[in-house]
Amino acid sequence: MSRGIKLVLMGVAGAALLYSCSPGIGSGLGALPYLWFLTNPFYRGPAVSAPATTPGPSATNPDASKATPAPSQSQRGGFGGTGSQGGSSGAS
Amino acid sequence: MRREAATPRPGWQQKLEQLGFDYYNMDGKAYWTEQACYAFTSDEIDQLEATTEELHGLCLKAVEYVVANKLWQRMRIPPAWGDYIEQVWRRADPTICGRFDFAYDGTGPPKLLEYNADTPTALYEAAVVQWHWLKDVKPDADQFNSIHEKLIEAWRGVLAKLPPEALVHFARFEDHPEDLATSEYLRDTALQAGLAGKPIAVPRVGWNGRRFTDTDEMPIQVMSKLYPWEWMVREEFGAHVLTDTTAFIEPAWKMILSNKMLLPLLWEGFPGHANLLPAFDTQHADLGSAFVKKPIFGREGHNVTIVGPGLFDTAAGDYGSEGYVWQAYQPLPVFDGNHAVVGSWVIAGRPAGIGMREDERRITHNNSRFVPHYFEPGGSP
Repeated sequence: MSRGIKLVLMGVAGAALLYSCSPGIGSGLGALPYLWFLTNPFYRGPAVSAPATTPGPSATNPDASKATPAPSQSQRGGFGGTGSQGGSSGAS
Repeated sequence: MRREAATPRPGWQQKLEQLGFDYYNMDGKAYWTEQACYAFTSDEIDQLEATTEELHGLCLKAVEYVVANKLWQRMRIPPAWGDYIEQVWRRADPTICGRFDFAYDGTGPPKLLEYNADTPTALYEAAVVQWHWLKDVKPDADQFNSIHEKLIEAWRGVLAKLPPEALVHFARFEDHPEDLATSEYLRDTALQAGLAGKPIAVPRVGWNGRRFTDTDEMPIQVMSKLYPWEWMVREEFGAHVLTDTTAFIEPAWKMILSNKMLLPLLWEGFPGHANLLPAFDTQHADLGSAFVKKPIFGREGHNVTIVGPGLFDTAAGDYGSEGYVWQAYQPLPVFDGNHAVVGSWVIAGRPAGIGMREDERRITHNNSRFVPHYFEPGGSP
């Protein structure tokens, strides 16, 4: 693993860790909602996977532009098919 | 416990509508009635509360048993989901609410019929609408109902795990009035707890290749969904849940509790428990002379069949492809020709109140009437 990649991963993990521990830092990141979480917000371990963000370069990950780009428009309709077909939402 | 005739409040429809409860009639039938109410003693309420706490504790042990022993095949949960469910269970992803259904007549112990642990409805009616009825009609009486306060407290618990700016999306089918009201009520209590909430229709949830998104392409961090887990699992976006980039309320471990296979598991783990009915994943001799056959992933009473000497009732539906469980038949108490079932709410793992439903049929379904209740503190009603 190159030094550059390691630094990026350390930066991402460090930011997540700092964020999870410090409400003050969280408040600062609040201005960048797409950077809030790299994973499920209930997950408290270090985040070392690629950040999951909306399209566009990430301020915390300079290599984000090299990652697989997300589509500019989300695909929709992948949930709800069962409920739509049966006339019932399944709630009870 | 008894059913009392009651005089509806003058202008009761307007009173309900002022609360936003505009589905007091559904499919041409009364869904809410205040021509009657159920009256309990404080001892009976204590018994229902204690039973709810006890059974929820047993259910959590059952979840641990399923997870530890990886009983995914038995639960009809795809094994690929096992690791994810274990992860959210071990992480203690928070739960907001669930509702037990009990057969209870005030004489014997309440008997567990099922646990609506994933997508329970009749929440707003139980928490708010019947409380307003109590204040208008029985102002000196009490009601087993701290649902509203406990919901706000539960959301505060969620908020404590999130940054102050966190946004919870509330996904539901907006053309189902009861679902819409339930989801909006959950959103309202979340707002009162200090969380921000944004509604979204279930079919409008998006996937951008990395994250679930809303219609503004904003990533969904936390999704409070009123849509069954077992349906999500098999739908196109289901596999994306396993990326664990979004938190769900109710969490995926609730898939074990809303599953009717829970009933045989509980009976195996706690045989003879006073609040459980014999239940099996086959037609077993210990069921006795009458039993109820329930689809493992059934909802709203569909595909439930009751069989016994001189007794047969069945409800049509599209469930049952994953198999069935068999539970000993416990007759619901009948008051004035109405079969009454107690819905006992669990909010953040604690007993919080009840809502009474009744129906002419033995099988309770989605449109079974909601009837308010009260009790006299320290004495009989």
